[in-house]
Amino acid sequence: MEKQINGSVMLNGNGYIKTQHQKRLNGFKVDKMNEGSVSKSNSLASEEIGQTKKQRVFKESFEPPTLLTAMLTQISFYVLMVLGYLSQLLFPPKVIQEKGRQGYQPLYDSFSAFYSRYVYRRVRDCWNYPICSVPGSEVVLKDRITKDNGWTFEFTGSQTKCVNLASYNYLGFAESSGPCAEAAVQSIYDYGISTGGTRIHYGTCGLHNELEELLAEFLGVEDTITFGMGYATNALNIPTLIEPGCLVISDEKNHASLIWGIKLPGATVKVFKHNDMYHLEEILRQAIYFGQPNQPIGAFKPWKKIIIVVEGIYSMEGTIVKLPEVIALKKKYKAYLYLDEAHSIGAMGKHGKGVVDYFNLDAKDIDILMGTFTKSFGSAGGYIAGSKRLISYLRENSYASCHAWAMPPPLAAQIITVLKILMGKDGTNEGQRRIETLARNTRYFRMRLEQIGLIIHGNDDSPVVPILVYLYSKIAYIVRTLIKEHIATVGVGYPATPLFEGRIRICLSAGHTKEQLDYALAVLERVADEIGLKYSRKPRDLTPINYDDIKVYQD
Amino acid sequence: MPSSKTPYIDEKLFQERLTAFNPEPLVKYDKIKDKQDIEIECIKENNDVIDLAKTNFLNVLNNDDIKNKSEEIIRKYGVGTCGPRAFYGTTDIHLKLEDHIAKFLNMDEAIVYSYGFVAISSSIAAYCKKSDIVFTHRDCNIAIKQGLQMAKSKVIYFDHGNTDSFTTEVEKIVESEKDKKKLARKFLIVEGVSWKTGQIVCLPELLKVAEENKIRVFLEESYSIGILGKTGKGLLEHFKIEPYRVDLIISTLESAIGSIGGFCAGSHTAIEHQRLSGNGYIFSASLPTYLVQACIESINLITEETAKKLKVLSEHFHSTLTEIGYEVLSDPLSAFKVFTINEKDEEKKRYKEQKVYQFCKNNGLYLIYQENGLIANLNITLADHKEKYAKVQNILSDAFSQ
Ligand SMILES: Cc1ncc(COP(=O)(O)O)c(C=O)c1O
Repeated sequence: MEKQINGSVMLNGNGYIKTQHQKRLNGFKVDKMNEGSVSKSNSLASEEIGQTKKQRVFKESFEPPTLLTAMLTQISFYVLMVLGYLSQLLFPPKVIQEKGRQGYQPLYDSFSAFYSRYVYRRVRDCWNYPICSVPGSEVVLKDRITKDNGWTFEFTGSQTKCVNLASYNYLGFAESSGPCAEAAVQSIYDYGISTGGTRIHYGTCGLHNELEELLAEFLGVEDTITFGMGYATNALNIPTLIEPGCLVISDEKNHASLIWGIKLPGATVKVFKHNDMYHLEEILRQAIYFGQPNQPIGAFKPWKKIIIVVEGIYSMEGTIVKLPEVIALKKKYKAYLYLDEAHSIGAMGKHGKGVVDYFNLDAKDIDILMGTFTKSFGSAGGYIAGSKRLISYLRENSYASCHAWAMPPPLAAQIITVLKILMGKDGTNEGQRRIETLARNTRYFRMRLEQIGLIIHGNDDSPVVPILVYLYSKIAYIVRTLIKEHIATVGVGYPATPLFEGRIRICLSAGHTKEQLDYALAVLERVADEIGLKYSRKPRDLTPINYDDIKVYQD
Repeated sequence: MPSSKTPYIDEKLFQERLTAFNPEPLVKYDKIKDKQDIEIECIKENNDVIDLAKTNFLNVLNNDDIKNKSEEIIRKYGVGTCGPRAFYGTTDIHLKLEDHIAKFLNMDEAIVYSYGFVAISSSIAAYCKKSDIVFTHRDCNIAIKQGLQMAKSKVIYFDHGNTDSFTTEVEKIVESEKDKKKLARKFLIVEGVSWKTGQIVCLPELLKVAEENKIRVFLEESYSIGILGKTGKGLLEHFKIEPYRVDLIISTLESAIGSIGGFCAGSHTAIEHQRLSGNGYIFSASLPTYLVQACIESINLITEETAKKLKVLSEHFHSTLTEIGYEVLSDPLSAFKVFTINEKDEEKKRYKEQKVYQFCKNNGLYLIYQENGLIANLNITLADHKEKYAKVQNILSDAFSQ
């Protein structure tokens, strides 16, 4: 029980859920989850899933690279590292040496320094690109050049306007005018730029109360509490919920803020393979059966409590959590569930209420429902939603309400306005229009990418679209080329992804027009041809796709 | 097939244990309270209401120029940035602020985080590791504690106000390492002005010991920047210490600067590391642009004049409190005053503090009442408004003798 469990288990009728039909076609895998046709099994978990009225085809693809691609990726990375070592020998760092620190031990390990100076620096221009506009469906980049291979940058004075496929602006509410911006501006004059205090000591203002009530209504929960930063919502609240003797079961792709919060309080942590329900159940079964480790021989001590921690949409994978199964499992094994909807709130579901809405589930089945406002809401901060007891406890005991500053009023005003629009309280159907446009853009863009022959990961309905490019050097090349073509995208490589899974990530938005998407697709197709990105060996359906005919949220 | 690593589970015993499993409640918390009983709402200031509860030392929260500038920024950049710094979440304003802070503090480079708490905890965890020894003071703030907990370093406590206790602890460690080949890397992390007591640390003496033993120094400056020093540049200026002698200055942007967020400033070498290893920097959306601009505007307001005014006000307020009869824990130069009532019996003391707090509130003077006493966050406008100051003085005096 101490060591991490490897190896996926696929047992039938032995208490394991069996709702997945895995088809292997031509070397790639399609996971289908069709809740209506759950195969007969005496497992409680699958019966519960079978009861969900809704049927949803759950299609996620993970096409593995060919062996050749995998090898090339590895080689190209090592070449980069070797080049790095060489240039470290030949060209000592230009960074000014620390003053007065002779004889001190280095501030950090030499690999970090090497990686930062000789590997990352070569591609540094692909990240941290400064912008000088709202990060809407278009974004204006402030051009810069480097005359010394990435040590320093200078502004050239020119600007590049790009189609923005990078920002987490799912519903297009990153706007510098319109009702949200107006409300934010008004709140500056009503309440100030910040309230200058913590929530429990004079930092709370009327907007916080309004926001928390509205959010509870929107999510369908008893109560909510909001914080000034999404990362801190995880990092500062989770430690107040767990303690040694608790078992936390965490998805391997969970976000850094969740990991921070989980690691702190000294509870036992087990990691399950990404979105692998078999593995999750395996760990749960063992947790119940073996209880806490290191007991005297013959003694059995159950865990104090078990908490499963998952995300709604995984931001690097584009996958969607198999929530109905997770809920069934958590009920069967009496665990608690912590769901981070950072990327999915607003972006998923018929009413924009996240993956809970997408699967037509009851928010009350999730013990701790967390989310952030930095994405779909175009604001900043985070929330936790749940029972009155939980929220009241956090209000009184959370580090984030006692030791960190309250959410500034303009951020709250922006969120309130977005919520009102999503709930139709503004008297228009603008919210519904945005939700549907995002879903349609997502479907359209993903289908077209598959037609082009690119390997994309994740769920068909996920607005986060990773395009696999594998090779480390290709990431930088593509980001640069796309910027030249006026398209802003994000490149992600090692260490944020596994070494051999370098990718370009695209985030779709309700703000994107079909013309913008078509332009981006045309450029992507050209670039893919130029540098050989059409890795996919899946059979392609080349029937032209009519944007307006795409049906969303009608099932 | 079950993998070979799957341990054997006896199905019958498993069912028994599952049925018997009775987990603890999610939170152990019996009495659900109303929001109003936990949180205290901010108050609107006017002629009858004096707010010494919020941290607004330089009165930036009431500054109309800053409000107008913030509006301008929202009308150009929107509210949020919709992405972390690396992914198009860096605006030109963010770069300007980092530059501005570095110049202001005379350091090579600065890095801005989107929350004060996380700036402190993440930056500490970026450097301190399991094999390191970290000296910090017993009553350091929770953010420092969390950073160290994450780093898993060996933590050694000393007393904030007592340099000798630091020296003793260092000597003990040096002694224990006498025969070792590889010495542990050592850090000193210290609050310039203690968040808890408002005491100023005796930095020159600590630095001397640290330098003799090659201990790296992280100075936490949340309550000294904008307040201490001839031109408000903080503790280093206050003690006339050259910036290169500390490795890192860590501070929130939430006290005198009056915005949200935090930053670290130091050498290129030091800051470069955080851009790839500062957990809360990499994995969080950047600070909303209008708040970044507000920081720039606030820093521009910090001058020799404001520093002097605040200094005179702080000292004056300290003596006012002492003359009335309160016991003042904070330094005369600290811009927030921690004070209590001299009373041996802890329960009586709490009761009296509570009465003072309530009396002041009823008379329009708002303070913070906390586990270690009463707190008054001074506001620079008190220096200019003699009647307002007199009113505060009278209320505090009446509260004491009620
Ligand atoms: C799953 C998840 N949780 C939390 C966060 C942190 O949120 P914020 O950017 O608001 O600090 C993120 C953002 O990147 C995220 O993806």
